[in-house]
Amino acid sequence: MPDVAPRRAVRIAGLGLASALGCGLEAARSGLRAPAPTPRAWRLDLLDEPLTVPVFTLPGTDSLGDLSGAVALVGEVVREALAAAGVPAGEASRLPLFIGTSAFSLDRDAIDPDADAVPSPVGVQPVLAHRQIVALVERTLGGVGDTIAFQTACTSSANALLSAARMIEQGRYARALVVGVEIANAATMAGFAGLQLLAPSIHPFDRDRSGIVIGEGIGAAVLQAVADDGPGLFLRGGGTCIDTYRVTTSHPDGSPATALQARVLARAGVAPHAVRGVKAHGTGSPVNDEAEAAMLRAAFAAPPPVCALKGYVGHTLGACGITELALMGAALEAGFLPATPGFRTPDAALGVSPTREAQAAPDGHYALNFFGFGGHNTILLLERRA
Amino acid sequence: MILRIVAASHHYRPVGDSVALPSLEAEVAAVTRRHARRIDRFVQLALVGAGACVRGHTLAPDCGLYLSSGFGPVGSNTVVKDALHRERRLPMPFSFINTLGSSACFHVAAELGLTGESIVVARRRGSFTAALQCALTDLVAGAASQALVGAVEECILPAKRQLALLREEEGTVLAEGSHWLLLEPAEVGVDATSVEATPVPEAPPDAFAGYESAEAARLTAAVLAASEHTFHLILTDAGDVRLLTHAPGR
Repeated sequence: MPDVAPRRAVRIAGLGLASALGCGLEAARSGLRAPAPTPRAWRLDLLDEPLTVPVFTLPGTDSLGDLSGAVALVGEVVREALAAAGVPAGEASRLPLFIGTSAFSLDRDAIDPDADAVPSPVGVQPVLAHRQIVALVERTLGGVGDTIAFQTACTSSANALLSAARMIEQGRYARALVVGVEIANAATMAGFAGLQLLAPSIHPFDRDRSGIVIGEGIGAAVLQAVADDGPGLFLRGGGTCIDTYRVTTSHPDGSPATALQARVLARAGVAPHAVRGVKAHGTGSPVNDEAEAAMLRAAFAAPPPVCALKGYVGHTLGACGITELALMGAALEAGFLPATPGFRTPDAALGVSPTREAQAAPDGHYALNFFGFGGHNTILLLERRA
Repeated sequence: MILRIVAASHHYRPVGDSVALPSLEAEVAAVTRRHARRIDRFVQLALVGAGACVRGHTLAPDCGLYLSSGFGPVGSNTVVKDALHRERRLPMPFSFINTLGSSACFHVAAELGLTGESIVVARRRGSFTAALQCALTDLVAGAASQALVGAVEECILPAKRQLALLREEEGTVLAEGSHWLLLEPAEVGVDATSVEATPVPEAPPDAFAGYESAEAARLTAAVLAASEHTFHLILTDAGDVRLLTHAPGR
């Protein structure tokens, strides 16, 4: 690796997505202009006191624990991103693979990636964790290059994107494949229920917000080094920081994320007033939105338009970095910033009112915020050029 | 970029049904100033290793924190599975939080006052090298001026259960460990030709065979075994780690 890295532009050359809005980027683009879907009530019967959890599910998902639909979709999503980027078949099997998911691979009942039919015996907890994801991508492409799995909770795939972009900027790779996967499972649903963070519906930055709604998502992106700054969607870097206020809660004054935002913009040479919009993390939980609102007020003298996307697809946890990047990509390529489903009544204490309707998105820079358990904060900076 | 190894720590303990897992509380207390509550053994291992590595050293304000693990917090994952499947109840909140490797990062950062770049990565039998690659990338990018890079592996007993969780065959080495390096860009004038390449491991080649983070164990053990040397490391374009030494007096 060279001592002084040549700075190269990183273009988001291809995106793939499966979410509650459907399969494919085009379905997502249409879904972002339509009324948001409603989550499905999933019942977790294995507890003495059965639990019903609303979840934004993937299309084709029939029951909790049946991963056969998700297994097939991983391949579809990866193929969509590769096709959009025009990656030759011979190169695809050698692409470096950056994975983002919140799940370590630990369950003996985790799926066997070589099996087409995935059993769902009663009482097991199937998961799609990083080793299974690597195996599924490998099976789809006939091989993979260097692999790194990122596991920083809800910033996992955002950090996968960031590291991939930095390695491309520095000339280590010409292209990279980033994949994020999060499938509902018993441990996640019960864990969030135990934390009392679940709500029946999601209302980011709303006076009546009461918690998160989990979502399933699979996203893929092909990042590619480009020598020029022609049209397209570019990843202009970003940054991470660790906020040690509480393991589950960002500092309510938003100061760690505010400092991070300043560093990200300074490194990219972008003034705060030049940011055209912000994709908030916007979980709809009372404390997260309070911290993020404080950060937005502090980071921008005059905040740009803010949208939050979890009302469309739920909180896709370790995959939200890539699923929400794909949603933003779909919207920005079509020239609009999406509305924020679930936002009805402003909370005067927050001072942030996200978009109520889709609005025109000009060329320029857009900040994407992601916060995770363990104090991990990540901000990505996108640039859209028509 | 060549990296200078400022400090290292190495904690490694083979475990099995005939060897009980000792408490780590005293070891944690010896290297920490704050009393972290509701932590699990994975977090304790991270604190022990990171604390020992940086003791006596001043960390840069933008020091990055890079944690790697092949299997992550198996203890808390097991506790959560038992709550769901055996006890048929919701898991305790902090057991659930501790199933995430990022929880260990949080406690290390809180203990050491770190606020900069931070990630948790995994790669089958190569997690530590993956973390080194990420650290190097951030150092080159100017996102950090110093990097604290660690590998942590936890085991649970009985061994049969650990082996089943990991889908490993009997005979696989079960061990817990915490291996850390504090790294900085090499001094001006140091390059690959001015130092002597030392193959890794220096320890007996099979000392850590079968251990998930064997690469980290070999590296940190080699550094600590020759503490009179100055060590550097480079990552080759092929992704291999090469340890380089300055012998004393050179």
